[in-house]
Amino acid sequence: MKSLLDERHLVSSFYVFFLIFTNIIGIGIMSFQRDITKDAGYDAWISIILSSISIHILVWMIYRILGIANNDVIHVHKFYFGKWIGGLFNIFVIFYFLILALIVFRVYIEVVQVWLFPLMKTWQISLILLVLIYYVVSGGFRVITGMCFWGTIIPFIILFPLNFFSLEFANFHNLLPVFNHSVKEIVSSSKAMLFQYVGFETLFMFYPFIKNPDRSQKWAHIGLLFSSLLYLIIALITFVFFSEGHLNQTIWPTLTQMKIAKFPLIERVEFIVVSMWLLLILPNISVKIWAGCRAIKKVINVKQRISLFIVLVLFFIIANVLKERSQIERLNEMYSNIAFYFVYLYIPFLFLHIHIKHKITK
Amino acid sequence: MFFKKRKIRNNKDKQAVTDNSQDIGQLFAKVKKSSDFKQFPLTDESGHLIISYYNTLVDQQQLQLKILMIFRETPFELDRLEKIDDIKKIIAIEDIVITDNRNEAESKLLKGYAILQMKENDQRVALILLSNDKAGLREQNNVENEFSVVGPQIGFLENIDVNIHLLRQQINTTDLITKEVNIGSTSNTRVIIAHIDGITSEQHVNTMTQRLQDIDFDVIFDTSQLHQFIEDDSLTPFPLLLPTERVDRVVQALINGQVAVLSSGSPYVITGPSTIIDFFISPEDYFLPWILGSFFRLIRVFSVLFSIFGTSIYIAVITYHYEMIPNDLFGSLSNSRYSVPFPPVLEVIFLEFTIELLREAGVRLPTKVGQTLGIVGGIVIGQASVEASLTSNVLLIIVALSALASFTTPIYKMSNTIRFLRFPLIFFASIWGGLGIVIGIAFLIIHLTRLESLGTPYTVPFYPFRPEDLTDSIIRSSYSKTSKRPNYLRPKSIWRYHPHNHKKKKSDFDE
Amino acid sequence: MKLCFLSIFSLPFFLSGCGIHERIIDDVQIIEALGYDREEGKVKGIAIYPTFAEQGNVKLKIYKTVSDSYEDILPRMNAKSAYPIETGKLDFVLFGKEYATQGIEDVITNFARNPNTGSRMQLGIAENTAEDILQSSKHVNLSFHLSEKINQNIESGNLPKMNLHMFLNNSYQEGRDQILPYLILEEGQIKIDGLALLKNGKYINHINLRKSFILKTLIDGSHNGQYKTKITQNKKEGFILLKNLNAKTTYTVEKSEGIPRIFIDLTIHAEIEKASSWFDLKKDKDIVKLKRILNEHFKEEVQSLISLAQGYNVDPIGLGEKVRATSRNWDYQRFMDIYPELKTTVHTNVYILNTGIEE
Repeated sequence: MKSLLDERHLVSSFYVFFLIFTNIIGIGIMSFQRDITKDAGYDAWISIILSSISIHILVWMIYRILGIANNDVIHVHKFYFGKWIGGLFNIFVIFYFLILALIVFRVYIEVVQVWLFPLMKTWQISLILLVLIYYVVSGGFRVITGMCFWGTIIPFIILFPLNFFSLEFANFHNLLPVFNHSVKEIVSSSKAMLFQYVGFETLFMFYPFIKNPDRSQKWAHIGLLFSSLLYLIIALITFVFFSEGHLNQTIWPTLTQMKIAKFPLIERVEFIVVSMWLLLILPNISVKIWAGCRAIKKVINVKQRISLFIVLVLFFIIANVLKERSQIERLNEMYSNIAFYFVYLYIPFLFLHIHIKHKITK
Repeated sequence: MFFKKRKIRNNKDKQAVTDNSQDIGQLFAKVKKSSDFKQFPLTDESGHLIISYYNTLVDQQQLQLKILMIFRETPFELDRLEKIDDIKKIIAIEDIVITDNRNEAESKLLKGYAILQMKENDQRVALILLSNDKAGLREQNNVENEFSVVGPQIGFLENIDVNIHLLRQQINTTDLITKEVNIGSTSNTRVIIAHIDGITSEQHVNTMTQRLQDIDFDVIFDTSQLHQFIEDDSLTPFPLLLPTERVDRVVQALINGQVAVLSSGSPYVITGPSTIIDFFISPEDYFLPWILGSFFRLIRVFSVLFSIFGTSIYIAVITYHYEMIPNDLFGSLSNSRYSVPFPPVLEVIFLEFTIELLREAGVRLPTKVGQTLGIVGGIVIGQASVEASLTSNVLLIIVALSALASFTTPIYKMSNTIRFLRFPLIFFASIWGGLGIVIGIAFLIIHLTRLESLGTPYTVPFYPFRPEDLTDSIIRSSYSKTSKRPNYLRPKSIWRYHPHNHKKKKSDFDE
Repeated sequence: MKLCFLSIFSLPFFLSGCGIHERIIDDVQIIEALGYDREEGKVKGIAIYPTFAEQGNVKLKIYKTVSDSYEDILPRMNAKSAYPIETGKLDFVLFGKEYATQGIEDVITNFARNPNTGSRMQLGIAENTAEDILQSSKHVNLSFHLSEKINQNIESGNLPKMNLHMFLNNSYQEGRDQILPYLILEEGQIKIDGLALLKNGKYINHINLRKSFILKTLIDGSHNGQYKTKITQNKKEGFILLKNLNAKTTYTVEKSEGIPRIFIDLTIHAEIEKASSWFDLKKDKDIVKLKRILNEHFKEEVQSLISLAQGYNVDPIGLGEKVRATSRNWDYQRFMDIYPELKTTVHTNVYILNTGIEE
């Protein structure tokens, strides 16, 4: 399969691992434990596995869809639904990616303001972050992938081991009794968990940028597996560290549990964690904004440099307008409902639709 | 290919400048204005066999032995010399060019050739090489700035031919190709691009040649100037090509498939395409056992990290995140800060500035004075500023250590970069504490990812990740593991050597 | 491109004008211990803060203030301080007994809300008033010594693992009640004298150090404890001091209808440090006898501790949690109702590893 783009802009299939990983692991991993235990209690680790399996199937579907078209989703929409309906879908896709990036962006700012600098103005931090994002995205997809690579490696090496320090106060009885929740509860907790995986759909956009895209599916699945394993490990550590009642009171359990780590030269590492998290957030937002701008370019043919600038200015304005935590929560909730339908209804629908059309034309 | 075209173009330019005149007489009229130009007939007969040269450029001894002796001492039979072309039979000098091209005559004259004419106003002249290359150049070629304890101490000199000689001594193969380019409209400096045929990727050689030929500048003093012209991106503090004065380093680079650029009058050779890790590799690593070599290389990498981030972490912790200091340390840190009236940023900038001052002054001063100044500066000023409560003594340790750590970088240009990088980070740390440092790190990472050296990514083998090339990056593996050339250089042949497979058969202890 | 760089490098200058809250280490007043007392219907706050003026010399000083309620103790102290008071290094919060009987949960959950508060912060209950204890600790010119005292006793003494995080875990969780170290003044020095038992953040009663050691073995087990027992045999009285005591407890819950029965299996490995001289440690028979005596002793101690806790209707061991972990339909209210009648069976296994280098 020949690619449509210049070889210089492509990344090898191995990096799909990092792209998928950084797109999934964003802001959610700081706080997902509370959301998923709301229904399923400490059996929620099952729902992490369940939702991971469902995402694996969806990734497989995305690969089938894009494999037939050998192009990104914008092209697929135009080709299979015509200019108008396809265009409508495309505009939806643009907003889908951009709003997701906006949520991650705003929540990270909130975390910084709560944990590090309560007096920091939103416009200050958002301005500097947007400059950073501009610097990444304007470097093109190769630089974004590079940022994904470093954003996976550095935080993983530095931050992941910090979780294990909380095992000093682990109480393994917390996990018992296992399977004490009904299937319905587990399923609704899986639905909450789904939102933590949202972001993998950027695959729809960067697929043409992969060398030998058909061979990259392996790496996409490994990336997905790796991130769900990370979710699972962190969730299990949280479950043994917090009692269920205490977890319900904790907004950012991952950060709170890292607070306990202590070294001879340094303690209270949550300050490092929140700061270092930027390296994970940055590629996460960048890929989504890049995907949005790329989609804008393909739909209405605006230069990415211009659309990126406009998008970032809008981000700046909206981030400053959304002031209260409750507003962010509401946006988040609304979005997770849309994401649920997009991921679980729209992708299978697209998959079936294209397969049937493909069969007929054959 | 580009090379030839370029040369033609150059000549054309010159013709335009020199009034279109082809006449050798006019050349003489021009050069006679200089007092060191000499012109006289070799024989008694005036107007015959006129020799002209710059006596500052030629070797007087050769002139006497090889030319004057023949024509003056024994009676010379003029009939042996009918045409100027016959001069080659008479004078025992290898490099004699017969030409009627005025431009060639001019450029050779300036390179230390003597012009011999049969008769005055003869257009066809013989150019005889009498040049005195070595005059005025230093003879000692010890390594001065990239010193190593183990291994050869040979460095390059200002003399480009000697430099090529040094390279050829070690790369004893006809595959070592040297291409010459003349750069500089005034200096007309000889620049040589060296690579090994059959190893180095054509692409690198072509890019390098192309970029060098595109340079338009008047005087080339040093390769480091060329370096700045041919870099992929000039908006960066990082050196994108590696300058070195060590012969073994250049040899290593060449056999790995890199290109080297030598310039006349410069003891530094630049090699490329280089990656960031190249700058932290010392040739000594290869002369020590690989475990030690790797260990010291790791120490170097950590010291660089410390050097960049040491002071900014201090600022961030002291200014914003006092919670991070453990209880046992809190007292001593708080105590050392107690009487300092400035905020930590000013304190750090003051001390960093002092250290930079000492360093700059130390470089300019003569060696012996420099050492004394270093001691005076380091100990006296440091101690005094602590006593005077201008800085805290904990910071003094950190700044001194990070200055020391930046010296561990084997390449001077990189250690300059590291010195520089501290300051933006100090700034970020003073505004946003730990988050500021990470913002700085993020900028640094993105910047590094965007950089390219001759079209090769700067951060290879980390990103793009090439595990097979990691064997000689942060650690130096044993020689049996480094038998392949790095893949990212796209060498034409991948094997450097074939390691002996002397793996012992795994059996029980005593059998 | 150039514009991009220019804007990046000018940003810090641009933003440095509107700085954020700086907390320079020597321009803040950290407090290392805080005490709350109830005094004539009002709340009295006592804070210890270290000053590091002289090289290698720490001076502890005290702020005191009185207010209607605990919330504005710190702002009131702030009004007395030259530097803003910061709680980031606050390592120890002490409550007077009178304060504690009315409940401390509010104070603590509000501390936990603050991201500056460390999870390893220690809490404590003072025998009389927190003021007495903190006042007398002022003379020890060693910063953070109160929390170190508790940490040291957790590491190698008779206290089970605890800190702010554990306290919160227990107070939000069904099935285990909180415990805190109980501090008294003994000859003008501060001593940890056992554990205070709390229920829903309210002080109920306290147990002595020996009992708290038993409690520690029941909760965490022990690695390097020391334990002294009194032994009577053939009308002779003697003492045995065990050291390097390594104890481990396993629980089995057997559910019958109504009231569950809990089997507690206690395994102890120990060395003999000191023993009364009439014990002949050379004889195997005596060792066996000794083991039997110790077995009996520990069994009794555990049983009495549990019945004591049942008497107070508190569950410091976390028996509720053990039951919860094995039952599908957990109802905390019901468990609390039957808790006083909960049946436990203790089985102990004592191993004497050695007797030192002489017998």
